[in-house]
Amino acid sequence: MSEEVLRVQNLKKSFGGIRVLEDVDFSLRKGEFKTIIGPNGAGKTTIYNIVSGVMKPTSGKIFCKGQDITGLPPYKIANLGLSRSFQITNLFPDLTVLENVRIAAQAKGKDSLKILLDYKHFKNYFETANKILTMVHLTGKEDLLAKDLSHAEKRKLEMGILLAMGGDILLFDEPTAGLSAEEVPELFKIIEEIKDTKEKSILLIEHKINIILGISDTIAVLQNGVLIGDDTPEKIQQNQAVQDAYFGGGAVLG
Amino acid sequence: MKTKNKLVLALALLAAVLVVPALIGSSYIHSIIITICIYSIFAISYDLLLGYTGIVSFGHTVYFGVAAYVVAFTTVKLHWPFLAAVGMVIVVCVAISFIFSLVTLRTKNVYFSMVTMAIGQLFYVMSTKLYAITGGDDGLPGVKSIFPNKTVFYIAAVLILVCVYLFSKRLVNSPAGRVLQGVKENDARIGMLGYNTFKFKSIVIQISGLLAGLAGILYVNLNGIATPSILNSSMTLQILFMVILGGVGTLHGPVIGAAIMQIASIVLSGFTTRWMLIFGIGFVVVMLFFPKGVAGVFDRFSQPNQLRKE
Ligand SMILES: Nc1ncnc2c1ncn2[C@@H]1O[C@H](COP(=O)(O)OP(=O)(O)OP(=O)(O)O)[C@@H](O)[C@H]1O
Ligand SMILES: [Mg+2]
Repeated sequence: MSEEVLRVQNLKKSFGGIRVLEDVDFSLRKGEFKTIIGPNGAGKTTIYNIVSGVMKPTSGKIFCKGQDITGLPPYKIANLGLSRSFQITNLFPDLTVLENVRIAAQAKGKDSLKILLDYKHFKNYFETANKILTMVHLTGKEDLLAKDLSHAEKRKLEMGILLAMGGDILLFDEPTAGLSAEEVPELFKIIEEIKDTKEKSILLIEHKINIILGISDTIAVLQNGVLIGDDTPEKIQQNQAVQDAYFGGGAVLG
Repeated sequence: MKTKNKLVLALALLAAVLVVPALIGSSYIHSIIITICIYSIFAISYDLLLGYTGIVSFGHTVYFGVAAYVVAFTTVKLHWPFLAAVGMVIVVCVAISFIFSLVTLRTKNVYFSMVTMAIGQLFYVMSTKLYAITGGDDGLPGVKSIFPNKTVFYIAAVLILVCVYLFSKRLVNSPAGRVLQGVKENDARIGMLGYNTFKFKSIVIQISGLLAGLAGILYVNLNGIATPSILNSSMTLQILFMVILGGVGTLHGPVIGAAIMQIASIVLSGFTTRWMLIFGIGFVVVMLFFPKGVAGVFDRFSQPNQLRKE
C-alpha cells in the first residue's frame, strides 16, 4: 500500500458544547480516491474546515505528508499542497473568471512579492489559468466577472480555482451542490479526468451515491459525527451499520 | 485611446503644468498647486488601502501629521539637518505602520476602522497635551523650507506627485498588487490559496504609510508649522472625501478629488464661512448620481462600451 498523505487522528469537535465530530479517524493514501458520504449535518464540511485550517479541533490531530498540521493557518496548509474547494461557492466576485484562476496559480509560484513588475509579464500563470479554464469548460468566459456567471459556471470556476492551486491533495466539498440533474455529469467527468491523471490524492464529499460507487477507491460513511464505515465500495455496501443507515430501507441519500 | 497617444497626452499635460505656472510666477498660485500635489500624494496613499486592498482606516492622518511634527521638532528644536529628519520620519512611519498592521491581524472591517480611529485620536490628543514636544495647540512653528523658492518647490512637488503616481500604478498592477486586489475581494479565500494575507497587508500598509509621511514632509515645508489640526480625524475624513469624490480604486481619481476639494475650499470660502456644508451637500449629490466618482464619469465617456477587464 502506498504512503499516507493525509491522516485525521481521533478528531473531536464541539460547537458550544454540541458534539459535531466524535473521534473521527481515517487516512488518505497517495493516489487514493476517497469519498465521504453522510446525511446533512453529519459533520463532513467540519472535517474539511479543520483539515484546511479554517477551524481548530477540540481535540485530535491532523497530519499532512507526515507533518503535524493541527492548528496551522490556512495558507501554510495550502502551501503544503493541500487544496480545497467550497460547498458554498467562494469566489472573487468582482474579478474576471481568468483572474480568479490566475491568482490561484500565482499562489503556487515565487513571484507574488514582486511589487515593481507588471503582473502581465508573468505569462506562465496565464498559461496555467487558460489550461485549467479549458479543463473545467469555461473557455470563452475568461473576461466575464465571476459574479455574472450562472450557478453551474460558478461551480466550475470553484473547481478551476482548486485545480489552479496545484496541490497534490484535493478536497472537493459537494462540487455539484445546487446543480440540476443534467448539469451533474459534466462536473463528474472533470473529476474523473483528474482522477485518471493518477497524480492526485482526492477526498470528495458527495451525496449522489450512484455516481460515487463507480469512481471511489474507498468510501467513508459519517453519521452524526461518527465514522460508521470506511472501506471499498463493495464492502461498504455490505457493511451492516451502513446498510441499516442507508441501503436497508432503500433510502436515497441527499 | 491608444497607449501611445495617452503617453503623449500625459507628457504634454505634465510639460504644461510645469512650464506655464513657472512662467507666470505667482507665488499664490504656486502654493495652491503645491497644496493640491501634497493632498494628491496623501490621497493616493489612502487609495492604495481603501481602493486596492479594502482596508478602511480612520487613522491614516497619523503618518501625515507625525511626519510633519517629526520634521518640525528635529529641525527646529534639535537643529538636525533636513535629511536626518527625513530618516527619522521613515523610522517613525515604519513603526506606526507596524502598529496598524498588527491591528488588521486582530480586528476586521468596522472594528478595524474603530480601532484605527482610536489610535488616530490618541495621537491627536498627544499633540495637544505634550506641550514640551509638540507646542500644544499652538503647534510647532519655524520650519524652514528646503526649497529656495516657490517655483522650485512647485516643480519638485509636481515631479514627486508624478513619481508617486507611477510607483503606485506599478504596485497595483504587480503580482503583489493583484494579491491585494484579491484580499479586497475575498480576504479569507486568498489565505486559503496559500497567501499569507498578513504579510501582504503589512507591505501595503507600510508603503501607504511612507507615502502619507512624504506628503506630511512636504506639507510642513510649505506651511512652516505643524499643528494638531493635521492629526485630527477630520483630516482623515477630508482625504477619504477626496478619494471617494475623485473615484476609489483609480489612483488618478484621488488627484482629481484633491484638486476639486482644494479649489472648492478656496472658491466657496470666499462666499461663506460654512463652505464645508455646501461641499458636503455637493458630495452627497455626487455620491448619489456618480457612485464611481468624477473619474468614473470620465471613464464612461472615454470608453463607453468597454467591459471592466482588470
Ligand atoms: N461554525 C459553526 N458553529 C456552530 N455550529 C456549526 C458550525 N459549523 C457547523 N456547525 C454544525 O455542525 C454540524 C455539522 O455541520 P457540517 O457543515 O459539517 O455538516 P455537513 O456534513 O457538511 O452537512 P451538509 O451535507 O449539509 O453540508 C451541523 O449541525 C452544523 O449546524
Ligand atoms: Mg457540508
